[in-house]
Amino acid sequence: MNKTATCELLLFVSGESGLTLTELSSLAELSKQACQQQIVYLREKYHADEESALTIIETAGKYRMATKEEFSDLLSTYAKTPLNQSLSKSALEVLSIIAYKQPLTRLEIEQLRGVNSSGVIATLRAFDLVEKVGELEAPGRPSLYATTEFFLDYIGINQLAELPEVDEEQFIAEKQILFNESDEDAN
Amino acid sequence: MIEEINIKIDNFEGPLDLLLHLVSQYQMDIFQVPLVPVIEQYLNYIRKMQTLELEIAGEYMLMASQLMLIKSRRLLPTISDDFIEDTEQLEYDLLAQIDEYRKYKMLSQSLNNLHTVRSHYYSKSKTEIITDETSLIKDKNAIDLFLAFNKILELQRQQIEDENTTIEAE
Repeated sequence: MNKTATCELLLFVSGESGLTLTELSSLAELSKQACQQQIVYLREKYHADEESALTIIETAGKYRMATKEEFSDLLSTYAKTPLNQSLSKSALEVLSIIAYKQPLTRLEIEQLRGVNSSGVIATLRAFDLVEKVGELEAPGRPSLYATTEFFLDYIGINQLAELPEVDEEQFIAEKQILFNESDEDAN
Repeated sequence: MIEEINIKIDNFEGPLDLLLHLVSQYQMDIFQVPLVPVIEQYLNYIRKMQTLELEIAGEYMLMASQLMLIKSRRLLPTISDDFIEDTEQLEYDLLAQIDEYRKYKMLSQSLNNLHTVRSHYYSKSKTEIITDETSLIKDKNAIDLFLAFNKILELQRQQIEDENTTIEAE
């Protein structure tokens, strides 16, 4: 069997759950390096072929076969999977607090935001974006929350280290934009 | 000094968001912002909400009482240096809280941008391949079944909520 076809086949079958390089290499009986090369080759092949709607993306440490970016408008009317759905402002706020300060308790999140956040946490857990990872050794033994592997996939990065940093300059610049926006909302 | 505030309360994610908005009108470093006018604007805003008989989340009232403490301490003649320090600490804590909140508000924006990029890629769900030789591992129990069904219910509920406007008293 052709190496490229094997990799393509496995990626097709795995779909949205994707495959790690290790899984791919053991299934295809190829070295990791060879798999990597095949993926690069496939990606380039798809890219060059204007009659193909496919591409390969790497998120949360897994390779996934996906449709090309330019078809998103067409597909958004057809499909609505949890992955492509966006979150509310409050859910996003809680998610980013958990992402950057994990593991942390509900109380810590609420202190940061100044509002009750239990409903939002339940939503994020239902979407499998955050999970309980343990309990804090404190009175009441509160649960500690952290982000899941799906979270990495959700924002399209491979590891937490790739999270955007707070860039002070950009911070000030975005502050202006942010506030101008909220001023517009006001009127 | 006090601008006409005609924003609805549900545009804000809690009292810190509202304070951040008011502080931002001064267009200066967050720790340089004169607090007393901000406090006045905040209280004014809450009062307006009350006259319109709008539902206000409890957190807004809690913040209002904290702000009133700061304001009253500011206006009272000082007894000792300790007292001034105490008041300054209260103010500083509040500003630090707003600043921290601002950071996460911005970060949540960048996460949203990342997600928007990611959401342009669609995949199909995993193909379930079943052969005659497949044997069951039997590693799932009643709890797993319960949780799995519960998750589906929760997702459904969320979707219905997203698609319909609900009026909720907070």
